[in-house]
Amino acid sequence: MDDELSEQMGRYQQGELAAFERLYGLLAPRLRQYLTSLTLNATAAEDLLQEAFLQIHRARHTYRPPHPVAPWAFAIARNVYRMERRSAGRRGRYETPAPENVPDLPVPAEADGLANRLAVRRALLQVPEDGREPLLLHHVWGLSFGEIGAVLGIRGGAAKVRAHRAMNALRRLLGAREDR
Amino acid sequence: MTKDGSFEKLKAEVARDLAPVRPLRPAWARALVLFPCAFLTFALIALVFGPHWETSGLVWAMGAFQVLVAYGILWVGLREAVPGEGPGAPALALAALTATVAVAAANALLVWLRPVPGPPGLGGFSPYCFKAEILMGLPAVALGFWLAARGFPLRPAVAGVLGGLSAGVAAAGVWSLYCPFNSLSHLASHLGPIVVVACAGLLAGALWARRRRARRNRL
Repeated sequence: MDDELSEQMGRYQQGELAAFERLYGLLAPRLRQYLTSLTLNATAAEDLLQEAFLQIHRARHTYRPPHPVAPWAFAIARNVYRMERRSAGRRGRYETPAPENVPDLPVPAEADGLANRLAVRRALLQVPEDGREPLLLHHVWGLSFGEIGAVLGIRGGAAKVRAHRAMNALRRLLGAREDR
Repeated sequence: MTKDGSFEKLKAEVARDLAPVRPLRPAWARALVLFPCAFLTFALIALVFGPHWETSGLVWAMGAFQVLVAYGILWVGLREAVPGEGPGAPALALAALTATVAVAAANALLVWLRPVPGPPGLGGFSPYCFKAEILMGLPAVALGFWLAARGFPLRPAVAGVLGGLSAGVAAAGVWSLYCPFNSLSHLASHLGPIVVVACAGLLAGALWARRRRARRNRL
């Protein structure tokens, strides 16, 4: 998938609209899930997705082939979320949704067998956000820890530690044995 | 436009401005522009004040070292200005700390090896050196910020302060070739402008971020 993304990104940089459509098709589902996991609100995530693609369009010259596209795109999407959160905070409109209103979050494959999906999702919500984010980026969207470090602005090693702690917390919440 | 979230509208927006773009060159290559700029500044000073060929080799070496450190900071700053390539907060803090220690150590070594008392009055502080470095550093901040803005800085204030720090260190390196004094009391005249110029970079970055936020909120 990375090669295909990289190829489409190169064509997009050359001005092909069809390449943008293909790129959207490949990236949008992952970015939508990612933004949903950050906002915990499907409608807000959809709005931010469109904004993220606008920013991706403005920043398209900063992608350098043949680097992986995903960390670059996730970093832009994350920034869109942070800007929105900051603006909402200033307006006093940032709200954490009630657990029953939280949309379906993606579930890491490693945790899928520990309990039913609903229980895993509920447990995932209890994992602190700074651990949940690297956990999902690695186990759901397949980014390497170095790439996650670049997205989050931390060292790759720190991303690995956070993801590992978050996975242990998730196991603990689900009553499974912790991974050492 | 973004609020209705339709892909067709997004596509129309993208199609309106789909000119081919050339990918940015790597940060290390873009930062190389610092060297001709430092050389030109040096040549300009030599034209105005006359060449100081009697300057000792040690001072030349320290000046060149500071310009190299400035290059390193600019490289990190330009990386920070590309999404997904930023070196991360701890690495940034370490880079800034290393640069500060390296420049302070180089100046202190020079004072120790080749002490020349500072100008009389004001405890060795020279407003002349202070102003000259700021005057040299501000255009360099503009250049560094322009280079960073050609990327897509997600944290413009961080990219700005790194650009400013680089400009200040480079200006201090070039001006040190013309400053006849080497004393601890005089160091403030050289290190102070670095802080001032770095703050100018921070301010430019903060204003850029604010402008971008305002633009986004209008959409």
